[in-house]
Amino acid sequence: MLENSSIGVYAIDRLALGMLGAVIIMVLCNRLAALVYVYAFQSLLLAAIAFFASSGLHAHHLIWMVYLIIIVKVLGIPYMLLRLIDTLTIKREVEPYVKWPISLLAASGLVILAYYIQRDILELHEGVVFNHCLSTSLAVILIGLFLMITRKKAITQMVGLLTMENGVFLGAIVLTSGMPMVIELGMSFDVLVGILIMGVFTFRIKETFASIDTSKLNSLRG
Amino acid sequence: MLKCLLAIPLVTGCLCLFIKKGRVAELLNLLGASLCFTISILVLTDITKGQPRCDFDGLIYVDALGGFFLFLTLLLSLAISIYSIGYMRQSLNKADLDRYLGRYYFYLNLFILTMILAVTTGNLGILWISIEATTLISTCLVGFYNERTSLEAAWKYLIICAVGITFALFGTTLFYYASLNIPFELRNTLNWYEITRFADRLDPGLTKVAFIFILIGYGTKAGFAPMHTWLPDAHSQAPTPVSALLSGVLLKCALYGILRFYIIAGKCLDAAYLNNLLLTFGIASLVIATFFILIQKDLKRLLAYSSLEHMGIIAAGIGFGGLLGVYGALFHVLNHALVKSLMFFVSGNLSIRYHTKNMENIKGAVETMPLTGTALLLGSFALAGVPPFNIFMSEIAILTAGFSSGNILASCIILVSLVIVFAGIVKHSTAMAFNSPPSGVGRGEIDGWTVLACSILLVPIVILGIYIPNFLDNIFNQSVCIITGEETAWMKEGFSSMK
Repeated sequence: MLENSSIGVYAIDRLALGMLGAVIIMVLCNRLAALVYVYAFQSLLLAAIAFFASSGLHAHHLIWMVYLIIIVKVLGIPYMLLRLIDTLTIKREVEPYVKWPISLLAASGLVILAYYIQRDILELHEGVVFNHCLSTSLAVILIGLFLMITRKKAITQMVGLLTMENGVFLGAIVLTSGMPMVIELGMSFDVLVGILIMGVFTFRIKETFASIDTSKLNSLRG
Repeated sequence: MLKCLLAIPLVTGCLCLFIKKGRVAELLNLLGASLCFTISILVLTDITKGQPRCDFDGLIYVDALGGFFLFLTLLLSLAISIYSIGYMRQSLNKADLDRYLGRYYFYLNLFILTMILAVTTGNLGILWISIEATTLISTCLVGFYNERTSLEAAWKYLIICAVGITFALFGTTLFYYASLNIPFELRNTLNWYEITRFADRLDPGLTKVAFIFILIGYGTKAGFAPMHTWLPDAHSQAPTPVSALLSGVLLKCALYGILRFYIIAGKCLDAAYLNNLLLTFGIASLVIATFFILIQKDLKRLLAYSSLEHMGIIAAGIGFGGLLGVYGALFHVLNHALVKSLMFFVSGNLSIRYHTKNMENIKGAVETMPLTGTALLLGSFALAGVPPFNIFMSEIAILTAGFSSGNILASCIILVSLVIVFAGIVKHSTAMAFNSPPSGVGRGEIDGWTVLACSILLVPIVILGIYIPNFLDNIFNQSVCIITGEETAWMKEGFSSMK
């Protein structure tokens, strides 16, 4: 748990805000590759947060978490996604159902909602300060969900999901100094396998539907 | 023994993948499933003597509640193994039968493995990991036929459940955080029984928010409305034995996840708050399902919406609370799994014989396939809640609990929905069973194995409608104690005595 006096807290707080910034840039991204790069950058910020948390908060097992995040989320998954975009030779880029200005407005609404929820929780925890972290984590999760709902491409949905997961990891690191090691490993494994399977299905969808536009997946109704 | 239970599906699964002979894979899978089922009975008899089994420092932990879900999982997986032999031979291309069968049994075994892990683990983190893993593996099964519709269903299933499960992860994190806030002897391991032991000291505000995240997260997987949209697609597009497994077991495993957190939250929150949440989701699922059952044309989608309806009834039963409500809900879990699997088996037989899942084109089942036709009639009457079948018993228990706990409005809604669903299902099934069959449809059962699987399931469906065997009663009672939070002897004396 964070103590107010720790130096790491300041850095963590600012980095968390950086993650929020990154997710808002994602809302504005109109190129798939750029979206993946921003995701990788956001994961890097997450790794930095885990690093500061491990040194500042006497949670030394978090250092393994840093390696895990860098290998899986900063390098592995973005590499796979870029390969996927490359092989599928996607012509048209991010296609939103919702126009940019409205997306931005919705995203800011979600940030406010996240702060509102956090205030409700915080009221009950005097003495423990995690400034923006919990609300940032919630906001990242909610905006990630928003990205998934409002974008048509299968890959943007994957990035949205990964963003949500980043938000949860942020919450886990800041609130609990990371979950027990076995569980961290299992979670990262699940995330990786999940993305692999989604990648395989994206390929199959491309083969069968000649597109990865998920709005074409609409034959099952009622 | 519990370690064997995890090893057997893994070994059989991998062997099935490498053996290039479909026949061998079928028998191997059947052997593995029957072994697992035997072990689950042994484990269960052992547990009901009083002490839960605990291994690997709480990573494996089976009490009566877990044991019941374990028994359910393995009972159904045995029936499904038998049915798969007959069904998959008929539904796959003869040319590459061997290759596809190997792959199918590989996925099937891994899927069962992840569900076994979900109900035997005592660690809330591992619980999350295994439930996420069930989604990943079963996606491969839903998209198994690789057609347009099955790909669409698989993608929706994967994405919606992955989002849901992310919320559940956040909820788990919040629970963990809440448990860290208690200064006590707890070792911060996310072990369920340790957190439960000190659960009355958790922060109520935090627990409230955390439980909502858990309920939305695992509720997506359990098929609660309005997060249910993946369910009819996945259930209708998966190979039929897998549909039975999804509906009969997977939904229940997710419910098991919710129950574990429900028990923890129940110790520090007002029971009415939790029960109202469950009741709301339950009634919403029920009402939405009722509407779709009436207008449904596709047989498997009809069954999928009926699963939604029954999950709603189970959630409502737990929401009503009390001995009778929870007992009825657990009983309903078993009953629904049995009857729904039977109905999926029947629907598989019909769809192969008639080459369609559209109910308007399926007519005269009793004439073309006497045994399947009879099972269709019996099964749909059981599903609709007609006495003397088992579902009637558990529905009566839940309704009684509802009226006696003072939830008059909710109970009335359930009652009305049940009547409407009864009319809908009986109308559809009698139309399919009688009339004259369309020309060009062959006669006779599709395979002996499928008939065997149906008749095996019919036995407990009829018996449980008349009386509940002692050992089941015992398990239910112990599970009810665990869910309603009555401390049993071993909980009071602490965990030092545990192996």
